[in-house]
Amino acid sequence: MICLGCSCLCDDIECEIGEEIKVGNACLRGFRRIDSINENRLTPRVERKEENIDDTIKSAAKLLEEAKNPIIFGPENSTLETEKEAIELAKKAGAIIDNMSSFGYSGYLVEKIFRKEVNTCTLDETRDDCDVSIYWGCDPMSSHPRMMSRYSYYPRGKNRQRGWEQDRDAISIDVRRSLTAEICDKFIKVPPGRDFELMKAFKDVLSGKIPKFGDKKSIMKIGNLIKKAEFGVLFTGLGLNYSINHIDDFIDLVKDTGFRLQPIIEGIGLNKLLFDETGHVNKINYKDKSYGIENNFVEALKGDIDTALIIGSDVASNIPLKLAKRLREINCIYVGPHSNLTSHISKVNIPTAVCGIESAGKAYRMDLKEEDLEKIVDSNFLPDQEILKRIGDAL
Amino acid sequence: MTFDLTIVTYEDRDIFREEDIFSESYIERAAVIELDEEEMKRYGVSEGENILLHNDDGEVVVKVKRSEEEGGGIGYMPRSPWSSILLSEETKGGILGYKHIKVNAKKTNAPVTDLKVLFK
Amino acid sequence: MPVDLCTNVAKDSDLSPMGIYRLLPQTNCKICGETSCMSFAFKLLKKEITLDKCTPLYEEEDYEEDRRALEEMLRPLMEAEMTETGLVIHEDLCFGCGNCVVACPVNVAEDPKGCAIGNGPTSDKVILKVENGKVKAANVESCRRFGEHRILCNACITPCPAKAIEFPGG
Repeated sequence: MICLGCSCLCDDIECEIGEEIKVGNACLRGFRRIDSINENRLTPRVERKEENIDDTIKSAAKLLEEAKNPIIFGPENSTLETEKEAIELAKKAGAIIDNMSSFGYSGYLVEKIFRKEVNTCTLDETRDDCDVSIYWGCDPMSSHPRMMSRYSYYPRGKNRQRGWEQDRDAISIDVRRSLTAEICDKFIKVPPGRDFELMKAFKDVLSGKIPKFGDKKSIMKIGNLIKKAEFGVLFTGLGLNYSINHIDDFIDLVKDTGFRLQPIIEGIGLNKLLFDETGHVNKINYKDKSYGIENNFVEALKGDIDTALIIGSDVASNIPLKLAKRLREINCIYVGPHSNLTSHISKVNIPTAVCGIESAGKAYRMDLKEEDLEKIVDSNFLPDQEILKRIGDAL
Repeated sequence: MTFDLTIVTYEDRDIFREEDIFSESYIERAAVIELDEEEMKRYGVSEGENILLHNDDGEVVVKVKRSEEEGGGIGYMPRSPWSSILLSEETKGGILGYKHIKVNAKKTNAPVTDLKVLFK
Repeated sequence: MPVDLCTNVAKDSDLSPMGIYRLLPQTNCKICGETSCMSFAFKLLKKEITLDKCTPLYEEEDYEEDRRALEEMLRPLMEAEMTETGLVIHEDLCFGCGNCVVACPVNVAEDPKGCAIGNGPTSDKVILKVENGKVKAANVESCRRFGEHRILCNACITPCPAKAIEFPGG
């Protein structure tokens, strides 16, 4: 089966769900997702009162119908079908649609990649060819635990037969000694907000100058490793996004090094669908098909949003307290498989199947490889795409 | 006495999005801050004791965990409802400052912040 | 007080074929009599050859720092007694990343179409496999630390970010 625990979409998972749940090859994150089908499930509720699922769908449709300024947010680990329905619903309701990719620079970088302004490659190419991988402001060992064992560092690839021991180097750049830093050959610890100085130092090394930052010898050593790379891949995540103000300089550096860029991102399916339709990956307002910062979930919530539909993303846990409280004041609808802070503060809770386990569909890996997800077990929960479609039909 | 501290949030391998955020086990893992020996000494706290973190955006009480990594004025918190309490709603082009949160910190005997009370 | 930007080389101190290899000249000059620096590293670990056979390490100034690090690294090996394999997995620390599954040389040799290319095992002969999010060991008699020609292989320990694998026997 395919694991939807993160955007690695591991395709070698063995899974038996009987009286006991037995899962082979999945990491703990993937196993926990499968094992969670019997715990902490969301119950259908309106204003905290338990209702049947049809009534929760009706309530959600009514709130969206009456909304003047609605917003739709998410999902994180779901199917392309669900992402399509979310967009359809945004069109019908005249809503803003956004996802986690606009909380950092991931969305911005992904858009550059879709426009072919920055080079990228697939994870399979990474496995076959990559000799130097850099993890800048990301910790795949924690967030995407099998990415380095399946693709970027440990496996033997077509043109990297001697694997990690001799054919590959890995460099971690982060504000803390993450699990990824722990296993990389090289680790550069950058104080918060000072990535830009390191970028400049690397630029200096690339153009044959002595870097003016940090331990010069180590920076030179790593800089030269980057310079000599035959097939370099640069992975980025939230850390880079939150500490660099100079994102375009970062893109220039990526181009100078000739590295391929791979943002580690969840929910890239929604970004791709939106891009194909509007030319932008997030922050779209379907009321007037406009794009802009005012459509970012955080910014919009500070504005005059009156209704929010959140799909499979615990956004309330990731935003400032004041905004989480604002989310509780407005009409918030949560659609997802499990309870969390967002469902706790929402007026309407609509439970869904866990997709890829209790419902089928298609999904994109972080590099846009399409995978078919099977339904492994029967359940009484409706797939999220069906719930969104029924809300749309009721509008 | 309070001290200035910078908080860096990170994704923790032991926190899963399917979990019950109100369960004791989740709170045990998510409502924490990692400080190194020197920082702990500065605040007069030991591992397992509570610390109050506050800034203009909110205040939160979490448990102290010993960090093996040298802090130098930095504390590490898993990205969770507790660390988000301290986030500023001022963004840089929509981007939230998860990696650079300035707070004041002091030892406290108050219990860990209860999300149910906070969102009553 | 801001933290200074610092760099470090995380793995150079690991007593493993690769940890040793990284500090060798990596020129495959064959002066030591071996076909490559990597095989020299393996023999060093097995105590079948001594470091001084790599003369460039002692002659060229550029290698001096690496040579000192190597001497330091190899010292415990010179003093250690080899023991039976005694693989211990700390399940509470393991989170199933599978780095060890893919890095274990026996897994790679037994399963070229599975573990070797990053996938879950497709052979019953592998030593390490992830089940329910935690790594489990089988066929330990095939471990390079076991039997007559055992060596102090570290290939499953080095890639573990959680320090979940140990050979307490040394």
